Amino acid sequence: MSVLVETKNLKKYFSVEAGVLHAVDDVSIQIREGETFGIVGESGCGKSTLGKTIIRLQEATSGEVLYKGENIHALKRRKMKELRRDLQIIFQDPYSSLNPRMNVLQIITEPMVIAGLSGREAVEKAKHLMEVVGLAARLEGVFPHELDGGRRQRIGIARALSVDPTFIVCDEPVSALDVSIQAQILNLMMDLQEQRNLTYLFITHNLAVVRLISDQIGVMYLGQCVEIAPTDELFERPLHPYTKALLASVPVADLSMRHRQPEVIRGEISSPVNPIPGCRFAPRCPYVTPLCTEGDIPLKDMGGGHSVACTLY
Amino acid sequence: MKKDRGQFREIWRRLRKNRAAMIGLSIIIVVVLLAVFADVIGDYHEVALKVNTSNKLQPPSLSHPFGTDIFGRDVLARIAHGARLSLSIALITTLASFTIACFFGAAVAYWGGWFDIIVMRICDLFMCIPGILLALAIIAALGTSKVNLIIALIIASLPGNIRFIRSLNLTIIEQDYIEAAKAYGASDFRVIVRHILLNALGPIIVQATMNIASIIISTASLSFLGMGVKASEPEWGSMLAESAEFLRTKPFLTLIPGAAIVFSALAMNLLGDGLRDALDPRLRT
Amino acid sequence: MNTILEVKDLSVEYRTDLETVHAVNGISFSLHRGQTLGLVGETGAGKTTTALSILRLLPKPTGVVTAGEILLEGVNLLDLSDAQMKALLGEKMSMIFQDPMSALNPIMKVGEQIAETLILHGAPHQTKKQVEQRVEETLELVGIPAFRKNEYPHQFSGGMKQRVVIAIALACQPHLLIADEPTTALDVTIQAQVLAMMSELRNKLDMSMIMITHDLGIVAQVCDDVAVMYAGEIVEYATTEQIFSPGAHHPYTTGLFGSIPDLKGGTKRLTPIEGLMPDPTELPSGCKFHPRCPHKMAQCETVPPPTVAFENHLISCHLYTGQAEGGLK
Repeated sequence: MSVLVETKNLKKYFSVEAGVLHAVDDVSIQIREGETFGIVGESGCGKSTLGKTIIRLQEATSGEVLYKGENIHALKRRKMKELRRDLQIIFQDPYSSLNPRMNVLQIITEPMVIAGLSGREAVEKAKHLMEVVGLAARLEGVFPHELDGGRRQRIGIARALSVDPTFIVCDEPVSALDVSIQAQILNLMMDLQEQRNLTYLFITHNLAVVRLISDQIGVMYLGQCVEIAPTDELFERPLHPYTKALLASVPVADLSMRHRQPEVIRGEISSPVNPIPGCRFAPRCPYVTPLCTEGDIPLKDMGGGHSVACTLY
Repeated sequence: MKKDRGQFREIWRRLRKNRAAMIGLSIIIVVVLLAVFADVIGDYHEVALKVNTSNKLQPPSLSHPFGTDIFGRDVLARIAHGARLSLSIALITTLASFTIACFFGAAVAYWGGWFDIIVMRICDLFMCIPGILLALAIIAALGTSKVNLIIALIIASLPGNIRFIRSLNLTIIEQDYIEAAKAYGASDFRVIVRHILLNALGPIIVQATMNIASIIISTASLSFLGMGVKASEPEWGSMLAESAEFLRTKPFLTLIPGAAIVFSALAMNLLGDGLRDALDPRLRT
Repeated sequence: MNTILEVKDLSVEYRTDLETVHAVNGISFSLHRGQTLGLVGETGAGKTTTALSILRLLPKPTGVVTAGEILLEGVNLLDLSDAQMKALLGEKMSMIFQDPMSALNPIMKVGEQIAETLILHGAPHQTKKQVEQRVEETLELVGIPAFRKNEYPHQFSGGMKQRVVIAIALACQPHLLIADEPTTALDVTIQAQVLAMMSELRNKLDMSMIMITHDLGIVAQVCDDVAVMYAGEIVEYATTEQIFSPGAHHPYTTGLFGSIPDLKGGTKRLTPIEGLMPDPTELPSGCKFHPRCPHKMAQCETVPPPTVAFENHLISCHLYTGQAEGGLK
């Protein structure tokens, strides 16, 4: 399958009072058409910034984002505006992602009206989309605050689909939802992907969710992508010490881990402001060597699409 | 749009339960009625302006419910025309000031950067001078007239309003729906109007209500000092100034315009407070 | 094993002039010394309300206990005066909330906040030096170096703040600790640290714990018993082993398990529960789960389900009527 979206040495830095915040630091990933690329990492690892930089809601500090082979960060304003429709985003917080002063129909039709559809066409299509995402037709005139999180997330999905995108950044779309609703939304997203040949960048901190939905996974730690692998490969043969620690930390919902203490990794995530050179995980890593902090550690191809950035290999 | 009316009905329902706000609203309705029917109460030129010394300083009676002033003019008619004047000045000023402030406030919050820094520093500069002094200085420079008064009041209230709307919009800009709108290619103008300002509307209305109160007071203060409208015009502040010398002998003459100023400003503030509670999203279900 | 807490037939409502929310509807459970009970359920199931009623911290005047008893070591908490209750909080039981950021006073040093609890409850006759020493001990207990007692909350990371919150809750060595989603706001690696620490402390201090969570993984890891709540009722009550083993389960419990993706892989599609949580102001008649239940029968719509006991495994569902080994309860 062909690569739809690719980042090359993508960097996004913010200048903050304390120095330079390395939110995304030299990330190179390839997202294949019709697949889901999962990004996992803990808070502050830059996964959301990565997603927003990929669709140019944030300007990159350096590096490229190639969409169908074209660097979108080099596009002129006019061209970019056209391309916007191809690249959509679904947000984590179903409360802040919908304009509270607009009703369901208005929210879903607005992107289409901007894209040049006539009012009537837009309404027609919005009604169809509501059906597709499982929103009852009677909810047309309802305002977001009258609805629960799951229904709001369905509105967000319908809004993203309204402009027929090919690529959607899903920024923790189910993290704010209850488990039974989360399952409904995940199933919906997987169905939509099949029906419309969508490509997802799925950002989450939930390892079980990412395993379910992704074809490939990138693990991020403090702005860097430390490991990339096909999903089953990553879960069965994690290589990076951080990936191992992450997998060991998740409480498993069965009796296999009963009364066994998981291997707890010590320390806390450090600051992404003016980070140390080399591996960002070094201060917490049980296998740390002096080599780890000497200089940049590039991703090393371990075969089978599995690559890792670690001095152990 | 049916649902939209439902939202307003909900706000009205909460507002109605607020006794203070209802008292405020009743007073405002009385003042508005006075302003609307000022010509019925007494013709502007014949009753409210024309000097008739033979009739001066009459006590309250059937034909002059509030008595007459030093020039023999009917006080009730002057209060009613004063209401018309005060309200129209306050409304025009507030509307103009908030319209300008909305666009500047939203624009600086949205684009940020140097534009933001420059506009906000200018606001800071103006805010160092007390509003009433600033207005006085502007009128002194431009000359005394109704138009100049309105210009002065707009300039004096603008920096505070820009700052208020900017900070209000900064929190709205953080919301994901702004980012979503950018992602589907909405123009900056559309984002500012439909997504930012529309959501700031509630607090803006509250602030504007309060602003009307302070403009009523400023207008009266400036007129009291002789820097507002022309001395002969039936303005509450100048009525107060005219009658000040009879404070001991005819306290009524001072009390009535004084009460008009205090009660209409108070009423606006009560209504504003009530609106704020009624619009508060934290109480929303 | 002696019982430390017993909740009998507890019902709680939130009343406003507009509506009445039936938050908790006649739940009963008991907790033994040194044991951990997991309260599992989704938003609006009544988990937090149950905890707040035990601590008598329901928002006033809207939150009202309409029926039931809460016995802590044999004393009905609902009969106590406010002053008696205040003395009990912190000393015999404490609570940890989900958000560590808002549970700490930002302008007080963390050491002072722990000392405050100690002075209020622990031992008023202690000297300043003794209190100081207890503060340091408590901090060390939750894995924070004692020298950090002079720092302010903002100098701590999220995980460390939650440790401080736990230190405050444990300062007086309560018999019962209620933890309301204590790790939901934390990252997984930090969550693992905090959970490990909590289990260790529970054993060390011989404390009983109520763990409120929506994460079945946490239940498997730390709980002894589990109460699955739905719409203010306990629909299934069992040991953790029973809940995670195949066999008779409430359809809602089955639905919950079908909704979580398996970390070990293998699932291609989830089998979620259809529909939404019922409106707590207008709960369905009969079994409250019937509008979403795949096994719905005629009587489910009208008759409240019986609680069927398979030994100590309780299920409130019409499906199991007459099947109980221990008979109806």
